[in-house]
Amino acid sequence: MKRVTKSAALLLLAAGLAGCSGNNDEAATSATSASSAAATPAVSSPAAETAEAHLDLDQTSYTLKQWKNDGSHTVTTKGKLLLGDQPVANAVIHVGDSLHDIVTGEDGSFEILVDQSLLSQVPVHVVSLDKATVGGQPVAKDAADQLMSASSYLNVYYPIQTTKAEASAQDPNQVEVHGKVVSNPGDVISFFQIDKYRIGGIVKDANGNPVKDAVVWIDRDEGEGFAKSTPTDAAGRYYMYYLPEDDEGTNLTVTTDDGKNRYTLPEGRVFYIPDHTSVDINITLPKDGNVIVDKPPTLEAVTSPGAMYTGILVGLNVPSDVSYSVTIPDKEGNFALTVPKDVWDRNPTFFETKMTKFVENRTLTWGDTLESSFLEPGANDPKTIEAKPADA
Amino acid sequence: MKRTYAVVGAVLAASLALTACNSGNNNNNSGASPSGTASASPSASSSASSSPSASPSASSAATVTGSTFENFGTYGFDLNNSRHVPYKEVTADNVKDLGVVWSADLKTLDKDVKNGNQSYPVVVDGVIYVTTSGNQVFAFDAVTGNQLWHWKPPAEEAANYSKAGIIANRGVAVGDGKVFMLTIDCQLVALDQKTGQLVKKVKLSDYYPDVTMENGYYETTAPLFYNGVVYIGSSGGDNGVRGFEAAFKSSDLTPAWDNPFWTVPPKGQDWLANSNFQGGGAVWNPPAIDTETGIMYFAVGNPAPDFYGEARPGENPYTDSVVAVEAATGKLVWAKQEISHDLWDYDAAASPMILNATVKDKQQKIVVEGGKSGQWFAWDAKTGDVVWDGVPFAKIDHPKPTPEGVMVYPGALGGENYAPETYDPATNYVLIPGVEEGMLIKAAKNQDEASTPDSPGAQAFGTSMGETPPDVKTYGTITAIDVNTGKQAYQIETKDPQRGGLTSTDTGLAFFGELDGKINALDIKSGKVIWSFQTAGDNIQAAPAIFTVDGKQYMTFTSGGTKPKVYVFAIGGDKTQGDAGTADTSDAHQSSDSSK
Repeated sequence: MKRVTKSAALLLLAAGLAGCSGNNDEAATSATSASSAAATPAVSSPAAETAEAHLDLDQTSYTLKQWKNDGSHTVTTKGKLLLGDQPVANAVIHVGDSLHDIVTGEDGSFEILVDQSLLSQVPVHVVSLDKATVGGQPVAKDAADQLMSASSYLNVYYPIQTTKAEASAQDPNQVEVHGKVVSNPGDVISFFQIDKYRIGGIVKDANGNPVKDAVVWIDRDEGEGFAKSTPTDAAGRYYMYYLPEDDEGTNLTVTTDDGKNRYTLPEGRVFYIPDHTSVDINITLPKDGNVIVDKPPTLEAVTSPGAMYTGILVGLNVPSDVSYSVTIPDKEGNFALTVPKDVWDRNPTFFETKMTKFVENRTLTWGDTLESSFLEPGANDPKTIEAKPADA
Repeated sequence: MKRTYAVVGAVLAASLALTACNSGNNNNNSGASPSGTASASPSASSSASSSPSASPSASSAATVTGSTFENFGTYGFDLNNSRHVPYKEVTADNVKDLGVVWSADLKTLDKDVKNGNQSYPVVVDGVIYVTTSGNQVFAFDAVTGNQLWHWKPPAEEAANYSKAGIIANRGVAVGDGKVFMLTIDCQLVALDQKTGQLVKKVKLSDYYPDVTMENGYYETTAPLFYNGVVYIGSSGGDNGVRGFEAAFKSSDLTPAWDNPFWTVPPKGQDWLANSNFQGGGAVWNPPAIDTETGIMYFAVGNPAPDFYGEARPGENPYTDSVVAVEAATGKLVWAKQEISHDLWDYDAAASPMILNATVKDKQQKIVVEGGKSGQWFAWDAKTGDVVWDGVPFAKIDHPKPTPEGVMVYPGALGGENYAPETYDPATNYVLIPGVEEGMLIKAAKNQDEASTPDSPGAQAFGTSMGETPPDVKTYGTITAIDVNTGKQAYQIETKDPQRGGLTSTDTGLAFFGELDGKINALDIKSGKVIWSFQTAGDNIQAAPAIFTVDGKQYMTFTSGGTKPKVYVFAIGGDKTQGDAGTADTSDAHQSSDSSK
């Protein structure tokens, strides 16, 4: 196992790699060889006068394994926190944004329960040494500084295979790459598709001025179920998202002043929201009382374009000023990428994200092409996935 | 009722003593341990006590009546959820002398208390802690009824609770010097056990961003305290949320597990590969925890949409199941399903119970749970191997729902709803509170119809729960199951469905309330109701807690309906009875809150 020293960790950061320490290769297409290579020169660097901090994980890269009845999608990974060869006991470690305190044992060891069913790339790092000891002694300041900067990463992702890469017929400076998001046999990956529609609109006061920080609620007339909008912005605009549904009366409520004022439809009146489309509901609040007059212009609804999409997308981990295009993977996970040749020649890594996005101006389906500017990987999405040739 | 406070310094001293007691007691039982032989000896209280009783000097300075206490310190009395107390003062012979020591009308104490109370009282060291619909918490002197403190949520938060449909709350957990409650809008609240002052309040979405009321989640369950951790379940399965059990440190309310235990796959995977919904699988009630093995057991609710299964092929694990996980990590140990591919809203709703019982003439540690399906199950606690497989305790006839509608038995209220069972070791009987209420159920024609105007999937009933036809008789049952044979020892009928649950004593009595406001005692061996008392309230929808103060046995419980009250009974209390109440047998998914 390769240990990542402090200086190596800095190198990794400098290289912009969300690096992974020791990488046992169950996830065959792991992204970590680059980071291991980056670590190599650091080992011979002259910085290592004093004992160095190591945060080691038995395994840092996991193939996304879909949720299984037997719980096999959760797996325990073991780790160790060391200062030189000495274990660091009672240090507190966090995984990513989780505030769960993981405390190292007397031998510096700790365990993390990894949910392998969700895409992730999260740092594992020391957050507190207040009660930590090395050889029974409190941790000295220099060592503490080292330990606090020791980190590793946990990665969960679908492996990516490339099946073909050839010069574009249209533009010899571009390469067309054909690839595939690989899942375990029998697994179905939910790629980017329509998930729900949008209710939006504008809330105005009786004088026609937009109302800021109003909240629009809708709830079923006959049963549970409700949705709450974003607070209206300075223009009075609000949004919420809902699932398509058949005819059913909906109660409409607008609250202002932190819920202190509530405006409703007249007694006994409900709103029918059209299904399979987004809609704008524009509401003008009454001058007196709290009943919304339920006819235009004080209550008007018009269908509007767009839908909320959600699902898995892939892209290249390249600077944002590099333009490329990629298709939404099809049912089998096949996708095509068109990328400048010089970029592809530098062997960029891939990212995967479960993206949710409102698309207003067109209807998308599997196989459609997206520009790279469309893609927005999240902070905790895996971004250092090395694609492997399909025949490798 | 007036508010009284003790001398602050003395209270602090008492709470320090409690803390010391609690920490020494963790691997024995929950911090609020219900057992307590040693606590009867005041001098031993700070070291050897298995109950966190206050030292004599502290308790005499505090306003709480009494100096020795035997508690009902957690939802199910003990962490096994046995609901069986070792107290012997009240017997078949003197049960007729039970009467009201005090009662309090919760709406009189605070006008914002909502209807439809389902709170299971917890009693620690002479203090009764009850919650209300709408998430208020009261602490009462158990003997005098003196209100020690009261907490209510901020008005602007409470204003939105009614959006959740159910605004009931099933009680608190007490431990680590704090009182814990979950709010309808998915917040975990920690109050100072002595003063009721807010210590901390966190949004579950601070840790798990999807867990919001806007997404269809809400919380009705009592939390459970064990060993410095507060365990919580989740409501909203019928809204199509992704159910979970989670764990938080009692010290600062930060997560105690790496991840929540999600009861169903993420949307888009496994049996949810083609579903518009998140799958359901609420955890409606507190877990049972085996402190010897560190394994905890919780019951998981139905899949979503409730009555439409086309888009959720297969068995739909772990819905309608009992799941065993490591209490320390949340890692799966085993899961067993009661109803495969449920189309009838047959949650495993009530808390599981851990028994050390004679089973097939051998001693065995088992986990038992009765479902809304009208079937009762037992599994080996360690392995999950089936011991008793779906023993029926209700009429069972449930064809696949059609768009035209079919009558199904049990209806969507059960079977056994959230009301907990009790276990009597002397007879080796489990007593099951049952609902007999057939229901007309209509299926959705397609997934769109099953869905609702919500984000991302609230109200996934798919489509409607029908009315119970007027000619269908609705009533309740209490079924005694002989754990040794897995067979019914007897079943009695009660006028209304059993919605509260039972609590038993070492004198062979089981106490349970009814929807008309009666509180009853059952002679467990004979199956005869030997005492019945009409309270002034109605709709008792939670089981009693039984405890002692200075050696005297008391029983407390809450009533709901439109007259939410709390009662304390004991031998020698006032025997004046109230007018007969009216049962509210409405849908458990809707609150009985007519004022919302």
